[in-house]
Amino acid sequence: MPSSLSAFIMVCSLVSYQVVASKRSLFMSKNKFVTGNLSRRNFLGLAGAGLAGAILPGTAQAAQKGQELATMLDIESCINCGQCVEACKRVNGHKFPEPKKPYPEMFPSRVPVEDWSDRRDVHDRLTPYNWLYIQTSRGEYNGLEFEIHIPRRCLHCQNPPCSNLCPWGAAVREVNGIVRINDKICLGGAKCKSVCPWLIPQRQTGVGLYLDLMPRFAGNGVMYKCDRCYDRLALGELPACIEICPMQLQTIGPREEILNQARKLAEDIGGYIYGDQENGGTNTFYVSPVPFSVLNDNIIKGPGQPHLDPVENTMARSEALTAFLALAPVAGIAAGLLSLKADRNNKEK
Amino acid sequence: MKTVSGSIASQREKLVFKISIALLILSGLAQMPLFKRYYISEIPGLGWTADYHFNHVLHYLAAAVLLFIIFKWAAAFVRTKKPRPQLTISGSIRMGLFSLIIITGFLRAVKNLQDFYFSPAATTAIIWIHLAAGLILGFMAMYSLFARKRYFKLSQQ
Repeated sequence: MPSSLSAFIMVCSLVSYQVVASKRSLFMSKNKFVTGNLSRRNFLGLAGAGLAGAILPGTAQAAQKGQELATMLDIESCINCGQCVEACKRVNGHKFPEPKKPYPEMFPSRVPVEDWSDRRDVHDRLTPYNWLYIQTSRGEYNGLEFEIHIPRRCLHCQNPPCSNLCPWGAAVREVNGIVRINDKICLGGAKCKSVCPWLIPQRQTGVGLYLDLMPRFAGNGVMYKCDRCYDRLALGELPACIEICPMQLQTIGPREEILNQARKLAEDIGGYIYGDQENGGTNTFYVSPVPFSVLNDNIIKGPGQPHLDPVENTMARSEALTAFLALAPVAGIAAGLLSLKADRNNKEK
Repeated sequence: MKTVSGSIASQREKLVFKISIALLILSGLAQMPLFKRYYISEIPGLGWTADYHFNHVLHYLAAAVLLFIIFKWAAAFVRTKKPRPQLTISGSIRMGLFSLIIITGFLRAVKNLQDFYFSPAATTAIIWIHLAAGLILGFMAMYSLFARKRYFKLSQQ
């Protein structure tokens, strides 16, 4: 990289960091955790691009080495500008479903047709056409008002139940920690959604492999969710939402490094982390100055609008039971040999 | 006339084997989103068939019982003095399918551990082989039942 470009990136990064830092101290001094509209979007966007450029080489290197990548979201910095949502739609548009109507009649008739193809612009929840949305939590904490915006998407669990329990092998975990659904083979049974603690994947009927099998009797489309721009990462580029963010509230890199950064940030602001322990650990760390239990009490929850509850490791039981599977053959062999010996002893007597 | 398997496997073990197979089929099918769709989970007492996590655990437990029984019989079979009984063609195919199911099933369990990684292609291949082998074994078992095919050739004793 030419030295002038590096210098430019560093200056932009510094400016971006200082704007974020000054914004935080400003809001703290007002005794409010409030985020407002940004009027200097273009300038910050440029600064963001500079910081993205600085983050990129390490991330790309880690991705190429097959290291587990994680993201940290400093949600206090989110200004709800929606650029990440727009960028996600734009960059991933070619992956969105293009169903053909009319859809097959389902059997039994109670099987729901989930069609979002005419509502592609919905942006206040997760849909097959909206893999990221911004959730807002407004309320009072310690006598202070707060308004915090939280970009919500798949958290990319370290041991994802959606991938582990997919009966068809369509949901998979990549070596760099990305959890994604293969739209070429997904049958849209929505089991991944049922076992996801946050019910993240969203279904679109009328598209996918099930149409070529038994469309009336099994399957119901394809499930969609954030794939953390796996194709961009493979090319050494940043996920769209991270690259575009004018506040650079997201940081991506090797999991341990990012987790340490999240812990440091939480310590600095006396804040809290969500995602490091949830469901046994995810690769998304939200850092907030307000406890997540308080944020959770003040968000709209519902279909496509996930909660912020604590989540136990849903794979813990099967992890423990694997020991039984490993020991059973050994115990069986021992029992077989002992019973044979006992039989022989009996015969000799 | 006495079957060789009869000398290795007690009636009680055979019953446990059959129960574990039945539970594996049931909990395996319950891994697919079918029981709720087709109202089976709405039959009183069968609500659990739509609980994916419950059926996942049940599949593991039934698999552990099956592995114990199969390896017990295998150890006894290997230690049996020669001449050893011979597998029939039908028995060989079913044994092969059982082996494939056990190997891919074990790999699936390993894949579900956080510290083990399988590539997406390997993950999908393991799952598809497990499913296909289970399906073919099901057909083979039905055929063997109706055509009275045994695992081992009968031996004169």
